[in-house]
Amino acid sequence: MKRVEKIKTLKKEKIGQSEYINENCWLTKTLNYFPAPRCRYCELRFRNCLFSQYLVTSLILTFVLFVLSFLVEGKISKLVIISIFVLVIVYGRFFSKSTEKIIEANFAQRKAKEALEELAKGLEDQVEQRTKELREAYRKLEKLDEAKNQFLMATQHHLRTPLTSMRGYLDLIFSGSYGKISPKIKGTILRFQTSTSRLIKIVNELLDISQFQLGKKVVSLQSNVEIEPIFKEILEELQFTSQTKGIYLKLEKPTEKLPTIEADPEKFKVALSNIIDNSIKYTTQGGITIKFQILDKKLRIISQDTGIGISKEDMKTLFTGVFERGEEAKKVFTTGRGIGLYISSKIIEAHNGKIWAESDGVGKGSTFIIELPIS
Amino acid sequence: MQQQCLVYDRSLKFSRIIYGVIALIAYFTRNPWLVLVIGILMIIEVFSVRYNLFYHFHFFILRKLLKDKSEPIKKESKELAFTCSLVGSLLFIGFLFSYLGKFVDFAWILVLLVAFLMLLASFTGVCVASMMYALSKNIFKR
Repeated sequence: MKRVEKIKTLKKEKIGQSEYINENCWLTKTLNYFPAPRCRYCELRFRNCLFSQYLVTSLILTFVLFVLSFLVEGKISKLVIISIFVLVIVYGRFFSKSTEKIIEANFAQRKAKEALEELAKGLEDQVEQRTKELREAYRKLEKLDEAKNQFLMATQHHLRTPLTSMRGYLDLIFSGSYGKISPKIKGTILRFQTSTSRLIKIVNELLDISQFQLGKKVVSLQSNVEIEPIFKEILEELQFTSQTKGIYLKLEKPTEKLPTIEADPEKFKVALSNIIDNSIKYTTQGGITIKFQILDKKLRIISQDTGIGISKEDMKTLFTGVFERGEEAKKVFTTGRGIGLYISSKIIEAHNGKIWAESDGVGKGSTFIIELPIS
Repeated sequence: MQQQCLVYDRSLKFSRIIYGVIALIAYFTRNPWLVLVIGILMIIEVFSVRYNLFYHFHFFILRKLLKDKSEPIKKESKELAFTCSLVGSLLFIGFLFSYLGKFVDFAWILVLLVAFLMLLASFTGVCVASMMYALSKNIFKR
């Protein structure tokens, strides 16, 4: 005996722990310890315990044999009684060991299952928490994005005003309103005018982007808009640029009259100009061909060029708000900003149309296709 | 308040096995003195488990030889005292009857029964005396 302790009551321990007492079993509760190791993992009542059934059976057998031993005479009968006693003990021993193993294994399985469930719940809680945090962060980013766009819009308005007045005054000087000017100064003023116009164009494009991103209405659709005159205007404006580069720019006239569409003529012209201008920039030899196709209630405008082509990676971000140009594009035209196609795609979408590009790869030209509903 | 003590269950079971075997030997050899010896040893153990020689033999020698690393368990002192006193009394009654030549058969059957129950308790963990103690505790509590 190790030591004597005076203990008031054993504190309640969890099942499986060294001082666990099964409150449902009157025997363990009364004795205040578990009589067998398997009782550590048991929550059954005493009458449901397999071992108690064995105990009752063996006690009854013992009593019967006890009585029989008085009634039966002879050594053999005594030997039989003793053999039965021995069998009961041996059976009990093996029964006890096997049930212990089974109960311990079941308990271990149960514990593992509970641990897994707890882990899963813990993970679920974590995922929920992270999702909440992400949603919150996303909301904040959306607000910041909107604030940025509002700021950009306001800034661009303030930029446009002085630029417009600059161009106005330049036009007046060029027209001779402030007196005759020498050819040398005229040339300088012309270059100044060109730069100012380019700057105004950039500011307008940035303004359009801000409006698109804020979800504002950028186009005012008109019905029965004819396309041919718009194309003629664009070709007239860009013919000089293409001729300077030594590439052709041709329009394949349709065999039948082109149908009218619902469009904002000004914005539609900007979208088409951007696409064709883009093709001119990235074509060094050959040229650009514009074709038309009339499909089932849809009009397709196809701009095919023999330019640098588009790789698969660049195709993914072509019309997105990621203002990154492809590597090949940067080699050919170093000063571009990459926003022209984005604006064109937004304008075409606002016209209830679709725009996409096709290319066989780098150096194999590209085809831009615009599909619009016929009004 | 319950008085408890820490005992090594295996050592206790070992001592019970020895007593059971001795009781069986006493039964087969019809030797009442052996029965008396066991009875006295059990009665002495009522006062403390410290007086159990076979317990100490297992604890100090056999445990180390067998490299037994089992932990001690808490048992009520009264429960141990009850079981020892019950077994000791029954064996003493058996001795008395066999010594006095009255109800000799009954006496030896009683000794056999006690031996069987001691071995049952040691090998299977089912102690009838402990159960009787628990029952009587419940009855007298009410």
